[in-house]
Formats: sequence, structure tokens, C-alpha cells
Amino acid sequence: MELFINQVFSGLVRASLYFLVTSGLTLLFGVVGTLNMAHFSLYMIASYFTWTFHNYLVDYSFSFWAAFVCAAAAMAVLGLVIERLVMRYLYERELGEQLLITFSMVYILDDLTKVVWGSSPLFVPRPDILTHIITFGNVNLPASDIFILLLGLTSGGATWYLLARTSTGRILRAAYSYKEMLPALGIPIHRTYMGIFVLSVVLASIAGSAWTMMGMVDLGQAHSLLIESFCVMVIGGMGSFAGTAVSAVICGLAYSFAILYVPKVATLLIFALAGLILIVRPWGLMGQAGRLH
Amino acid sequence: MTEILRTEKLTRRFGGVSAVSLVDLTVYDKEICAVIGPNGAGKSTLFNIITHYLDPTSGKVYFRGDDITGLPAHIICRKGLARSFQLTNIYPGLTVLDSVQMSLLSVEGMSGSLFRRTDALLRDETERILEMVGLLDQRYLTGNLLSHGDKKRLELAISLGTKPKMLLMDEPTAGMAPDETWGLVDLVERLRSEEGLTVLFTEHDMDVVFDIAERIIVLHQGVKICEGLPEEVQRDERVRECYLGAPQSAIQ
Amino acid sequence: MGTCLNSRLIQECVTVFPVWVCAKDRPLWLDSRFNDILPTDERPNYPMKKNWLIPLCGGAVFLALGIVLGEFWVKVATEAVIMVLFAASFSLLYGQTGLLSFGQGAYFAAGAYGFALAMTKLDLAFPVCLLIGMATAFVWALATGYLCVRLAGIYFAIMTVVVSQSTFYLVFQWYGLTNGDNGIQGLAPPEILHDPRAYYYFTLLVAGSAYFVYYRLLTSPFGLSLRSIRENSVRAGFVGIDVKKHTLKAFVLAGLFAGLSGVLFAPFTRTVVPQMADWMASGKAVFMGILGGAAHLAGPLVGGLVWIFLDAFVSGFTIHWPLIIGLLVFLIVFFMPGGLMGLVASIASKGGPGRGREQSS
Repeated sequence: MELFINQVFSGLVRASLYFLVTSGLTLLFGVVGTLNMAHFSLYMIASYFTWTFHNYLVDYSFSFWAAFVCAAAAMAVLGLVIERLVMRYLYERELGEQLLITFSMVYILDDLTKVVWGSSPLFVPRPDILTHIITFGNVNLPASDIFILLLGLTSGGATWYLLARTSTGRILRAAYSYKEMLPALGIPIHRTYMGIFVLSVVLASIAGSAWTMMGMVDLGQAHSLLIESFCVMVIGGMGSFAGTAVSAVICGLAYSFAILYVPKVATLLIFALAGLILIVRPWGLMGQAGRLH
Repeated sequence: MTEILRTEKLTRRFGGVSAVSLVDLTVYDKEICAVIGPNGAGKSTLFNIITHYLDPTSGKVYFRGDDITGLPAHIICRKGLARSFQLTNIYPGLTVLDSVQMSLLSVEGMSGSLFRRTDALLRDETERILEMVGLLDQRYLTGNLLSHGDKKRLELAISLGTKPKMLLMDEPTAGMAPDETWGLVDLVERLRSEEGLTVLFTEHDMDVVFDIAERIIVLHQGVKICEGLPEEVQRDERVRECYLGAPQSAIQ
Repeated sequence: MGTCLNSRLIQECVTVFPVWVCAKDRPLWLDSRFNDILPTDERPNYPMKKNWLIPLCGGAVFLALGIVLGEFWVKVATEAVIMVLFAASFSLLYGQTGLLSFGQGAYFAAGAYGFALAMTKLDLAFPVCLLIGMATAFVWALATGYLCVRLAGIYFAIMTVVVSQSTFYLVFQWYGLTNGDNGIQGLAPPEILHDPRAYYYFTLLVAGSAYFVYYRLLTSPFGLSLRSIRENSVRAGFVGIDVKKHTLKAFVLAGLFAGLSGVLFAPFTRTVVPQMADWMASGKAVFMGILGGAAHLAGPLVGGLVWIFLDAFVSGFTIHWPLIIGLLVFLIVFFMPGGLMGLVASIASKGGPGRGREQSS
């Protein structure tokens, strides 16, 4: 029983990371219709930023938290720059070109990361409060994991609130279906897109900072997560925010139990699940068939 | 008169709205038949269901005696039922020649052939069709460079390339200049007399309809309300009502 | 005012000029794959005039390279010739059929591993191993292609990523068969091909024949069918083309091209590793194809050669090859969507009416 609870818990933590990193991707695709292959490079860069800011502030007790926030801010700026320079010229382009451009950005960003931070893995120490392990009987819950779980829940909740409950959200939802109509209604669509892109980068940044509590910061971290995250997106339904949340939980739990019983095929299991979904129900669990491009 | 196309209780619903409901129609061999009706009457939807661009909600389509309901588009085409589209649906990046040659290759069963060269294959036949629709001079241009009228003609030539027994044309003259329109009308009549083509078409231009259609079917709100010779349709009260509008009670 | 004019001019040079070069009078630079279709009064595109001069000259140059170059560069040339087929594999799908595949590495690896296993586990003769490698790629492409071609657009692209990454994990985890992360070493070609020059001429022969097949493929009715599917798959269905069957066929043929290049690559490096299958390896095919111009007959050839030689050259003084190639592809997709061949073709077509097409072939 304890084992079961432990696995569920670690599955949920993994789900939270999946969700954090995928939700930005989903958001951009859902509203703008662009799939950003470089999203994961941005996620990786965010981890590096966290390390850098933490290093600057290492003497202060709040260094980790400050690094967390500073990284998000820096990523927002970086996102803004990328949006201004590249993304805004992409939205109207053909799908293949969007993929190709963002794919080439993966190479550019990865190599730039290597130039700036070098290729040896870096380590960000956790603040004391997150090193505790909370124990109920035989169930051990590391505080950092609980924090990641909370991060996933709050950022998911906040984004959901933005989409579903605010007037901005109404515009965003309209932006997908009635792209041509928005300018006619006096809504600056490009500013909307810019906001969405920056938001997606900030979500990637939160994911990147969260990752520093789970493992080393290194150049390979994006690639291992990229495909799994694509799968999460596909299973939930491309562009469906709620779908992403559901499928992140499914994949996280599936992974966490698979790693226990069939460790060799844990990752393959998620791929197989995504492949199956693509064939049986290409629009995913919660996407709409009409959104099939 | 042998029948070539027949539909039985063809219905298509979008959500709660019936775009086409319980339409029975029969088209006979070698006739030119028009489907008319006000905007939104379900003409395009009807064509889309017959050629399986859309699935019917219920009902059957028979072509030359065979049940073709729900067959893949390419099978329907190979049985000799071709269609042209309302919004021109051409290959923007292929040359006019290639576009039409493609259709011919495809009905000759050579579209998958790896061991021939496309070059001279069926070239004469292709050029004959292009000459017929008047696109021979533009044969080396790519589709996207043509004028609107030429695109329409290419659209037709691509359909004719499949050597159909029957052709469904959705608004063939929309957006054409008057002389182009009458050129097309002549062409359609020639195709019927020379090649024995059966034509079913929708059209907004009533001059064209009453000029070439031998039989007219009138749709209104997805329902067939009248069918007959042009004179009969002209005289029909229900047709007048649906075009001119009538008090609701008069229809019920 | 002056600076304003200047910046305007620079902007024109950077953005408008390449567009104009590639697209002449059309705003169609938005679609890279339209670049091969400029109107000329010769019959354009693939069904070409029989012009033997350029292939002959090209062939002569390739033959001479094996003699002129030093050993290092002969090896580079061998790799380039092999990679041309890999680029052709991507181009057949994207340039001709309009399907963006990020997964060609899966079939490259399937070919390479088929070869390696036939050689090490079954101890078969070299030519038989080559055939078994091809057969492996064929089977894998058929099985996975059957799933992929049911999807379109972005779903197809993602499915290919998933397939290639699954292939990677399969190879990586199946330790008993594939030796996992360690790969399989010692895949020497037979004695007669041990010399790099001999192996160069061998690959040149095989790849040259394969490229002739690629040429015949593009000029065949099937090639035209693929282009009509690319241009308008709905319409292609309505003129009687079985779109799914044809795309599957294209997918399998593309898999065979990738497989062949994998099969040739394994005895070249004498090693196979799981990383051959992953999506970054597949990205290489994507980049080479885009670099050369995926829609052009000579695109993969030019792309593959330029990429490999540039890589070898640049690696001499910097480790930042990914950055360079990333920027290069970025700029090409943005400003020169027809790739290098698109540029050549449009320059050549200004040389005189109708001549450009012949030259671009």
C-alpha cells in the first residue's frame, strides 16, 4: 500500500512537470496554431538561468526563490525578443515552415546555451525548507516534490482562470476560431499573440526552474523530455488545455508504475499510448475533431 | 431513357439542421439537368454527398445501378462520376498540362506506375481536352497564375480528364465574364452530343439554366419541392414562393 | 531621411531581394515547395528534355574526386554520397508529396542495424547483408508507414517523431540483440573494399544507381501523382488517385532510400549506434533536404554534398557546427524557400527563356 501511494505520488510529480512544460506548448498551439519545437530549448535555458541567478545571489537566504522569479522574468524578456524577431513572422506561414524554423531554432538555441554555459552539468542546491522529507508511516514525501506538485497546480489553475474566466480569455478563445475577425473588432491580434507566446515561455521557465530540483541542469535535459511531452500533448488533444492536464496525469502515473514493473519499456509505453491515440482518435482525448489541421 | 444516377431519401444533418433531407432524384443518361434553389438550399451539400465529399446521415446513392454510398472518392471517380468544385479546386503548383494529364493517367490506372516516363504519355489526349476547353495556349503555366475564368476552365478540364460518364458541376460559371459563360455553355452541349456526357449542375445564372437544362430540379431548405421541364418549373407556384417569398401559411 | 532610406534599402536587400529572386512576380515565397514551378515556355519541371551533359559532367567530377582528393577528403566525399540518399529520402516525402517527416532516421538505423546484425549474428556474405539491411528498412517503413499515412499535417509530423524516437528506444533497450548503447562494432566491408578509395567508388556506384532511380521516380506517372497530392490532396482523390495507397508507397520508397544510405553507412564507419535512429539524426535529413531544395530533382544531391563538405570544413576550426547549420537553415526557410537549387533554377531561368529548366535538372 505504501509503495502504491509512493508511486502515485511520484507519478503525480512527474505529471506536474509534464504539465508545466507541455501547457505552454498547448497554449500556443491552441490559440495561435503554431507548434514551437524550440519550446524545450527554452525550458532548458530557463534551468540554466535559474542556476546563474542562484549563483549571483548565493550569499542570501532567499537565493533560490529569487532565482526562480528572476529566471521567469529573464525568460519573459527572451520570449519577447524571440517573438519580435522571429515568431511574429511565422504565424501566417505554412505549417511545415513553422516546424522547420522552430526546429532550426532548437539547434541555434542549444548551441548558444553551450557557448554561454559550457557543456558540463550544473547543480542548483535546494533551500533548506525543500530538503525536508515529510513522513506518514512508511510514506515519504519530499518537500521539493510537494512544491513541484503545487507549482503545477497553481500555474495550471492560474492559466485556466485566465482562459476561462477573464475577458482576455474570451479574446484568446476567439482568436483561434475567428482569426480574421479580431482586427475588425479593434482587437490587436498581434499583441494577443505576443502575450500568449510570452506566457508560454514563462510556463516553460517555471518548468525549467522546477527541474533544477529534480536533477542536474544539462544540455540533454530538453531532448529526453521533448518527445514525452509531445506525446502528452497528442494524447490530451492538441490545443486542449484541459486535455493536457488530464493526459499529463495519465502519462505521469503510467510512467511511474511502468518504471517499477517494466523499467525498460517505461518511455516506450508513453510512445505507444500516443501512437494508439493518433491512430484511433487523432484529435486526442479532449480535443475537437474540427481542430484537425 | 435509362437512368444513370439515382438517390434515395438522401439526408444530411449538421447538428440539428438538415441541409439536405430525404431527397430522391433521378438523372437519365445523356441529359443535361440543373439543380436550382435559393442560397442555402442545399445544392452544394447534395453534390458533396453524392460524390462522397461528405458522409450522408442517411440515404443511398446509386450510379449506373451500383450502390456507391460511402465509397471512397477515388473509387467513385473511377466508376465514371466526376465533379468540379464551386470554389476552384485546382493544383496551384502544377502546370495546366500536368494537371489534366494527371487525371488521364489516373483513370487509365497508371497513377502508380513507376516504370514509365510521364513525358509523352497520353499527351495527345491531354492536349485535345485542353483545346476543347480553350487552355491549350496556357498549358505550360502553373494553375495559380491563371485568371479566374481560366481557373474555372482548368477545373472543368481536370474533371473531364477522368473521362466521366457523368459530370457534376457546382456553379460552373460563377465569376465568369458573359462571353466566357456562353463559351462554357456551348462546350457543355458539345460534350453531351459528342461524348455522350450526362451533366448535372447547379447554377445561379437563370439564363444559363433555362438555356441548356432539359430538366430542372428545385431544392428549397434541403427539400426537393419540384422537378420537371423548364417550362413546368417556371410555371410552378411553389418555385415562385420559394424565390419570391410567401406567407409562411401558404407553404404549410 | 538618409538613414531612413538606408535602412529601407537594407531591409529590401535582406528580405525582398531573395524573395524576388526566388519568386519573380509572385508572393508565393510563402511556400517553399512552389519554387520549382516558375513558368517558362519550355515544358517545366521534372519531365525534362534529355540533357545528358550535366549528369555526365557531374559523374565525371565524382569519378575524378576519388583520384584527386586526399584520404581524409575521400572519406568526406564517401559520407556525402551516402548522405545524399538520406536527403533524397526526406525530399521524396516533403518536396514531392508534401509530408513533413522528422523520422527518416528510423529507417536509416533499420538499414544499418539490419546490415550489422546480418553480418555479426548470421555471418552472411557482404552483398547479402546489404540486401537484408534494405529488407529490414522496407519492413519497418511498411509497418510504421501504415500508421503514419493515416494522418495529415502536423499529426503526421508528430507521428514520425514518435516513430523515430520509439525506434531509438527499441534499439537502445533491446540489449540482447543490439548491444544497446554500445552499438555494434567491427563491420568491415570485404577485403576488396577496405581501401577508402575503393569504398568510395563502391558507394558512388550504388548511390549513383539509386539516384537514377530517384530521377526515374520523379519523372514517372507516380511522381506526378505525388506532386498532385502535395498540391491538393482532396482534388487528387477526386480524379481517382488513391491518396492513402500512394502516400504509403511514397513512404516505403523513402524508407528504402534511407535504408540504403544506412546500409552503406554502417560498413563505412564500421559501427552502428542507437543514436542513428533518434530524431536529431532524422533532423539531418530534414536539414540537408531543405538546404538543397526538397522539391528539386538535384536538391538532395546539392544539399547532401554541401552539408557534409561544409561540416568537414567548418569542423576544422570550430565546434559550433550546430549553430552554423541552424542559422543557415533558418535563413533559407525564411528567405530562400526553394533552397540552393531554387536559387540556381531562378538565376538560370533568367539566362534565357526555357533554358533554366534544363539546367536545373
